[in-house]
Amino acid sequence: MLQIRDVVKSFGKDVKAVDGVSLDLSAGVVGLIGHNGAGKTTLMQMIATLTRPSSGQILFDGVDIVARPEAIRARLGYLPQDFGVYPNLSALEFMQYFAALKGVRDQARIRHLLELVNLHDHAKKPAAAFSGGMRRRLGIAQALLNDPDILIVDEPTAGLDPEERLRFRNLLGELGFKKLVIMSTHIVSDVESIAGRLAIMNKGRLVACETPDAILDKARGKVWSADLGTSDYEALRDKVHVLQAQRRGDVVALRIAHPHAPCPGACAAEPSLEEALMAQRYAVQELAA
Amino acid sequence: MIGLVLKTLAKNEMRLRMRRSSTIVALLAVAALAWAMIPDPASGNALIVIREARVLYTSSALALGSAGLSAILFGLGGFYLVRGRMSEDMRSGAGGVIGATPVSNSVFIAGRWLGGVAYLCALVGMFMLTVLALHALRGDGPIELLVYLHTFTVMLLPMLFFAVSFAILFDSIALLMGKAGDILFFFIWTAQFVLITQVDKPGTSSWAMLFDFSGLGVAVLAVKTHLATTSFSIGSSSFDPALTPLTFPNLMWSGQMMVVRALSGAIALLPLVPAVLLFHRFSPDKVKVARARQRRSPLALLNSVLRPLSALTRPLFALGGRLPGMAGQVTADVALSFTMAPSAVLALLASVGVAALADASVLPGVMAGAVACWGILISDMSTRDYAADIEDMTGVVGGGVARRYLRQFAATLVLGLMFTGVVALRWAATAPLRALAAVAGVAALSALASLFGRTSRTARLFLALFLFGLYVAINATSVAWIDAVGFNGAANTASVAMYGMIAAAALAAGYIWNR
Repeated sequence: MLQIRDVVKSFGKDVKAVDGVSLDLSAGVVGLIGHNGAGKTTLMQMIATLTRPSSGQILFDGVDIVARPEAIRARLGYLPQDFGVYPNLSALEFMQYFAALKGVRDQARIRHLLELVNLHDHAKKPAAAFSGGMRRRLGIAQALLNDPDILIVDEPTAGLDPEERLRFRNLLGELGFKKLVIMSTHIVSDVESIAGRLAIMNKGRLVACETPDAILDKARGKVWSADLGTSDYEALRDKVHVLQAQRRGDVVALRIAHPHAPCPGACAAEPSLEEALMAQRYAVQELAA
Repeated sequence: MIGLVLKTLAKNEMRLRMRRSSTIVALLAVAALAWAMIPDPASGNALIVIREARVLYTSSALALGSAGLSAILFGLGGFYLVRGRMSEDMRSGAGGVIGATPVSNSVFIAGRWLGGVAYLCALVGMFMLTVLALHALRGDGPIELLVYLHTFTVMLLPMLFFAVSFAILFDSIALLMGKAGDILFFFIWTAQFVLITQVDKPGTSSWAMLFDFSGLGVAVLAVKTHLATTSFSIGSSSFDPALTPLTFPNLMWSGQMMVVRALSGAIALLPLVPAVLLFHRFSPDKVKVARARQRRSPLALLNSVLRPLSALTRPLFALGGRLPGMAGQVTADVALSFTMAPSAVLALLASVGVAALADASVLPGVMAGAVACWGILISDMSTRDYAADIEDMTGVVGGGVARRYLRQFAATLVLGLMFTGVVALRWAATAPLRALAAVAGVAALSALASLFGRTSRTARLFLALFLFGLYVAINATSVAWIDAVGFNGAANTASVAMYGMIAAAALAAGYIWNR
């Protein structure tokens, strides 16, 4: 469905926000993971045709969308990380405006989508007065207006309360049954239960694109647990990557990312996805160093 | 300590403003303004003409003429340039942080004010440098820098204080933060010119001079004192080359006049008192609700009351969905404009109704009113996506970012034709050139609104120039090139062609910039 071929996006001579990324994506949820400044948003903006790559190709069903952006726009839904709403507009009017911009004739679809995101009771209320969660739900409804084949959502759960996050996660998971959903986040728990693949970015480069299970497999034997006294912990902490440190009385319970046992008494632990990703990131950094 | 805080606040204001793209536009505009203001006498026009004799381009004449004219423009433009920082703070989220700091209202307001004045002084400095360059090219005597500095300070400083004080006051009060404040200031700015006519009248001159922030009244008195006339024109005017040119004395300003200007400057600070007392301090109780619901300004209140009218435009959204490509999107943008401002529906119905039924003799007035309503409505057409932080969402629909610029221009033009079309059609039968002027003028204004909005990212640049142009057009009824939309009946083939070319050039420039 979507092929990204050696895409580079440079700003000036020195800054490469995206550096030679290649990916093949089909229907399903793809989690785009990376720290702030890793290049996730820039990559998504290029797929959404908001910005053009400095070099490389992005093919959608075999059509180069850099040369022919219209080929994807009619089949694209996009929810940016930060967005607002027009003042003085109700949620319904906001949707009607975007429906007209996207050439959507079916007015019933607007009602259906407002129901899908549970905003139908608020359809006639000013969208500007919505909470962050309600606004994001309105945003996703807007993105789904044209029944897109590819849905790009940038940090959709940032700032949402746990209930809203869960609702949002489930909605995106269901959409991913039939469509390609690219979801960027740095909250691993948001994608671990719904993403079929995780694309991991670091400093503009694609470090890995694998299933969560494959990432967990690779991290096994690289995440350790240990209980140390305070002085031992202080002696060790600058030499290893501490994932978690929890004081229990005189003992500090540690989770550590390390290629081998970091200290006497350390036991190999079953990594969580977040720990596996951190272990992978540290390994990449050490390799680069 | 307070001095350090003030310095930091003012420096920060200056830095933020100087980094805006609108500052580049403003700097270029003031340089262009100076060139347009001081014509080459060989062309038959001069900056100052007294009883058809030109005044020699000495330092005092050029300083007085250019400072006098620019005081009018900086008074209006300065307000719109300085305004809007509080809204920026709210948008960026910095407002809440500022509100929670220990800085007092008075220090904060004073810092903002100082920064605003410093910024406008920088623009005035650029303007003065251009005038000096023109003096070197076209002047009749040596460049006397002190004369320039003296005249610019005396003439311009009170006006800058006035503009910045009102900008800070309006930004400090929730209900004046939006378009309502922009329009209200235009009327305040216009009202002060009434005082200039009072300066020469016995019994009223003293107090009138104090409130003459532009300094034009004082300048009239200075000329009267030295040349025994109040009949003179400042601005590009034709003169009789057969008459002997006149010379202004170097020292135009008496001690009394200087005191009057100093007092005017002090009076111009008075709006800061209510600004400090009423400052919203970014309190969500005051500004967040006003911004979110837009119901507290008079214009927003009117729109709130007229909200049911927006239902009339909803079918346009459905129509937009059915029309293919750009036509559908333009229809959607037109519908959005009316839905966001239902008062515009009323204004449109009124202007169309009156234009269709009224006697032909009142059509010029109807046209002026229709253009005024339209200009205010569309001033933010090309900036509203940016202001609402929605650009990324509207940039990925069909046509992308490039077409968005064109469709917003087209929607502006369509709205213009909706407001003025009936009058233009009636003129088409009796005065085709006038009808053509209306179309060319609306097209040029549409293109300029899109260009200025896209380059400066604020609606205020266009709104300020539009309101100023409207004010000039209503007062200078016989000048063809000022009669942009034909309501004075002075437009000719050349002026229509000029506005057609402006429309094409502005549209092309905006499109290229947008890409």
